[in-house]
Amino acid sequence: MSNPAKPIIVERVFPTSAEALWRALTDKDEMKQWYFDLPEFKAEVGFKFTFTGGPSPEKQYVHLCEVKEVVPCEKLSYSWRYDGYAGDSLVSFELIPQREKTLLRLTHSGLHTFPSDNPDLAAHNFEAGWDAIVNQSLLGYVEK
Amino acid sequence: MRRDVFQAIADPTRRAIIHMLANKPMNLNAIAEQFTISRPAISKHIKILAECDVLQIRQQGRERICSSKLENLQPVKNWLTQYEIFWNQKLDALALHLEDLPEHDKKENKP
Repeated sequence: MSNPAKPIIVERVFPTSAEALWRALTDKDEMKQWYFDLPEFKAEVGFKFTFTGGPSPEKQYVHLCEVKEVVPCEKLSYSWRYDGYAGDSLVSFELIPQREKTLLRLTHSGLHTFPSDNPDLAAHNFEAGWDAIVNQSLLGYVEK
Repeated sequence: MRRDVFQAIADPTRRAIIHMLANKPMNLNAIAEQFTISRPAISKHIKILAECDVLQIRQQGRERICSSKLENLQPVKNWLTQYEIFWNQKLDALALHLEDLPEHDKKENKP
């Protein structure tokens, strides 16, 4: 049985320096090109920002974020919650130099804290029964 | 009343029933025997699952055989993976952005 609080982790190697990657993650003009168009962004603990977006085009939410950890060129973390909903998650970007390239490890944890009154955000979705369906039955089905 | 796959899996008993039927069809009585709650209560859950189209009921003599329609659970998997999809899309866009940077030498280094 997998941990219901298991974070999502996505890793990607970019053919750039950690400095260039850091700028892409923290400079609002660069962020606009690939992430979200923010009026302002500061890589400073306590800086708050908001944007509208979602995990899919038909599911858009107002996101409320606050920078929690900043280690220039190494790590950036911010809280990630939804306006009008309980629950709080954390998004972390870790930059790990690999010769002339840089590994980016993105960790999104705490998704299980979102409330059950919205099926999109429902914490109960992460309960044991859910995991059993998705990880065993359904994945087994998909792989057949 | 709402009848979709999310309604189907909103209840722990219904999730248990889906899981129980994942590998083999079972008759309704055999399902009910696995639970401590009453048979009518199980029947009601099964009716909801059928209305949500994740389960079908087939009359076979005096037995009612229930089998799952797991393919209809796909939206659930979609929900669970949508954050993964979202972040992968964002990182794809980030890769393209980094390739477009003027100071970056354009190597054929797509991830």
